[in-house]
Amino acid sequence: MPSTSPQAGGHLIEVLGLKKIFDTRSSILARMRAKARKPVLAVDGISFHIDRGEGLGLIGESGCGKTTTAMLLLRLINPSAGKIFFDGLELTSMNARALRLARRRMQMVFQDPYESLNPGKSVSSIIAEPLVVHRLARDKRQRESMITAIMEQMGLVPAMELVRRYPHELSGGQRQRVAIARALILQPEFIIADEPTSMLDVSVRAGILNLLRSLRDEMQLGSLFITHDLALARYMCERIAVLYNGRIVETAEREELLANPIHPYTRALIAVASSLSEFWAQEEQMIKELDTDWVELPDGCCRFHPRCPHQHDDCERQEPELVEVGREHWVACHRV
Amino acid sequence: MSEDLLLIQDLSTSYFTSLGEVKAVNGVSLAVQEGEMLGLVGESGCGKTTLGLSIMKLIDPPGRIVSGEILLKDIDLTKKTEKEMRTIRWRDVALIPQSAMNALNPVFKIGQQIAEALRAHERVTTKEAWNRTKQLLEMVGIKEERIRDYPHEFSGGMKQRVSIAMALVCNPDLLISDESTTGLDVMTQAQVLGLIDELQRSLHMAIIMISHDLPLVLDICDSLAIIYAGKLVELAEAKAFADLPVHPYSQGLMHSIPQVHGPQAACKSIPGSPPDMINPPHGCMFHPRCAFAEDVCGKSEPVLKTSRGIRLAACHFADRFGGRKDAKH
Amino acid sequence: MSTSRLREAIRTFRRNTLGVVGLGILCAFVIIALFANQISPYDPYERVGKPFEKPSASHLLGTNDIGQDLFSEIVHGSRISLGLGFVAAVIAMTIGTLVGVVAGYSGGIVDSILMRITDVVLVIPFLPLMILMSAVLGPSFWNLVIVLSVIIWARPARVIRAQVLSLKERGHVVAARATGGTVRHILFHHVIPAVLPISLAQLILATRSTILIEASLSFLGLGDPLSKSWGMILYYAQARGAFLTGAWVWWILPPGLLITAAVLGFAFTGYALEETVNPRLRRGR
Repeated sequence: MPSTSPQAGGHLIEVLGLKKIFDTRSSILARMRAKARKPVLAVDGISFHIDRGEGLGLIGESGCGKTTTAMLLLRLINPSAGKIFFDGLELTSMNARALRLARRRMQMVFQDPYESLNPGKSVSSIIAEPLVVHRLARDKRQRESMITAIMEQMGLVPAMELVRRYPHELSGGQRQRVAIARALILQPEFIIADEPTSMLDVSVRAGILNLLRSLRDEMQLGSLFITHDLALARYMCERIAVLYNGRIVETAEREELLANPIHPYTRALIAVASSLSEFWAQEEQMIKELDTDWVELPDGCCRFHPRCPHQHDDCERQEPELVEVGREHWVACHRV
Repeated sequence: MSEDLLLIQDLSTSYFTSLGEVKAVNGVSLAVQEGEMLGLVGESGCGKTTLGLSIMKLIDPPGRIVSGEILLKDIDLTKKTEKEMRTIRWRDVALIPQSAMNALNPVFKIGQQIAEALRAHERVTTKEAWNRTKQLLEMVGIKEERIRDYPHEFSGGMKQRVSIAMALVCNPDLLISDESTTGLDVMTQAQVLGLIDELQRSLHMAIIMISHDLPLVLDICDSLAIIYAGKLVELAEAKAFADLPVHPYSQGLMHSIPQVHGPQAACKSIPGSPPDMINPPHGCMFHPRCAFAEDVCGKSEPVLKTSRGIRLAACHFADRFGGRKDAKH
Repeated sequence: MSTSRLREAIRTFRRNTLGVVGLGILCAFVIIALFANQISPYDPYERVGKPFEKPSASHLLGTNDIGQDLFSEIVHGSRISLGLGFVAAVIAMTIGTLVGVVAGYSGGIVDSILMRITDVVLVIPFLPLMILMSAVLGPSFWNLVIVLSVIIWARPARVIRAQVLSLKERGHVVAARATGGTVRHILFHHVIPAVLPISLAQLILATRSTILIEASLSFLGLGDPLSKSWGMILYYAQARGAFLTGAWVWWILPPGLLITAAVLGFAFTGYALEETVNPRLRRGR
């Protein structure tokens, strides 16, 4: 999967060697890690691709770099290194104007439905914003009908009534639907969903997930689904990539990953999700907990090594590269 | 002399706000045996935290316990004064709060805090307190030399372990864990829960685990109680519940959660949203969202009763669901 | 802006007793200023009595040194004092908001430069500076306005910048950027609307300062000698020895009290507004 150059007429999204370093001086991320004197390597050379109509799940725990990856993909923050290609166009070297046009075709749904909507704007104004930004649908009636149509598609009914409401008058699930409506009104080709249900009540989540799934199929959207929940990734995506501390440690088609996990971290994640008692029974061999939040690692060693139950000569010397172990199944581990 | 460690009878706790009375806990009865791990499951705002705080009598105005009894080892806590509660708290029942931030003071070393918690509740010398602290830290898997470290020097999971140590200073019979692993990484959460599980067994404590995470509770608890809009809608043993949830709300919850293994079934969300607690619906709290609701559901409130001899559920038609192997609709 | 949020804001404001009192005082002053002609029995510029008259039925507060009715003077003074104060505050707030928004949103070197300038302005002792400036510029309504606004903008600028900094990270701003919003779009659709409530609170608080400083400058003789602001009334009172005679009771006290009342009114209202706008400042929860 990691290739060195983009294929013409190939993937919708292609990411090569993406890196993001947060300088201790400027970022909030580094300030949270009290001991970091070195710059924080949030994303350390990841590569992946997503095709039209395909869903890739990005799994990892908090702080592993998954949200940073999403922000990088939309160029909401700029990468320190690496390239991002969208439909063959290189995003990383685009000027502002081209970027704005590209943004029409790629959108994002954020984690916090309470934060991502402007509290001072009505639902209609929020959903209309992409149209306003890109100066589309100038005719008022056309705009209104587009808004009503997409609201109905999202299950936000009765549309005429809800369209006048403000975010604080909506439930969490409704807010997230408004956010999705806003993301999809321009009919993008690619969508990123960053933990879209983690802040919603359990009984409401399935509705949002099913909505995203059906929209994805209807609109043939390529999607990147970010989550920490393996079961969700399995439900939503065809392929899954496991992110640990800024690096992709394993990626495969979903059932393959669940049936034959190879990287110790992946295996641990699956074990935890399946049965806690089994996980505990094997804990001696499993992951050791870190003593503090952040351990300074010397450059050029496997990032997972301090917690890994297995050892290999190269673990401390070299960062393992992704190696193909099966059909579309890649693992980054020296034991392989 | 009953066998139950904790017996809650018809407890009601309300918050009296400027907009009206919010019946956060509305006539809940349940029992916890010694050494039992009971999961209290529900979504946000359902009253599970209020129930936990009521047991500890930590409800502040504008809330208060309106009626009912809380019998801890046959002593009715609702009748106790604040002064009396202070001797009961931590000795007989302790709380692990949701965030370690709520339990740990950032300007004191953790050893000091644990020792102080002990000295506040029992007459011990400094040396005894210190020794007990070391013992507790060992019990929760923290190295002894860290006794002089400050909270910010610990990772999230370790801070929770310190909170657990603090809760255990007086060896309580009952421990209430209020979403104490929510917000931790999946792995860390698993480890902290492993610790809780182990401690429960070795110390023969009863634990009430308050959580919104149903699969988690099913995995580690002996039994569980489902709370909806301040009411207890189902009480069951975890294993039996996993095979067959009876109450329509429980069924809805189970069917809305995707699984890691097994066949990929379509998840369904429960239509509608939780009721307005100031103007709750007539009859059954859940009936506006229930696929099986009939006229009687809107008129009279179902009581928690045994269905088919095996399950306690608060539904007029519980018997229809109990006994059916696959209750999917 | 939704009506329910507005109603909520009004309800919160009403709970703040001091704020309500302040607002009442403000409204009273506004009415006095607007209806000054109707309220005052005489034209304040006309000589309607003997100089230095004591208070009587025909002259409620007596007369000043040239025989003008003091009561009428003081009533009309509200127009100048409040008007000047408000105009200066508006100009200061416009500058302050602009600086705050630009500095906060741009970040980097623009932010640093603007903030250093702001810091310098904040640190300089303002009274000596203003005395110097008015002495140089000369006394007139607009010169005073300039002198005041050139200094007062700094504090609001800092407050607004802080708010913009936190707004930048808010989910809906990031979402707007993700949609492809230009800086202009984000500023006008997200940042400025959110900043306006705080600007309003800051405006009221700024007016409190401008009124007081204008009074001080006028009292020192640096104000417009032809205007009848409260400060100028005090200046003449002092120059004509009112402090040494019993005349201070009706010549000095009323304008002094009115200045105090006005300042308090603006202060209470301003602080209450700040609390309404920023929930973290509220007492209790």
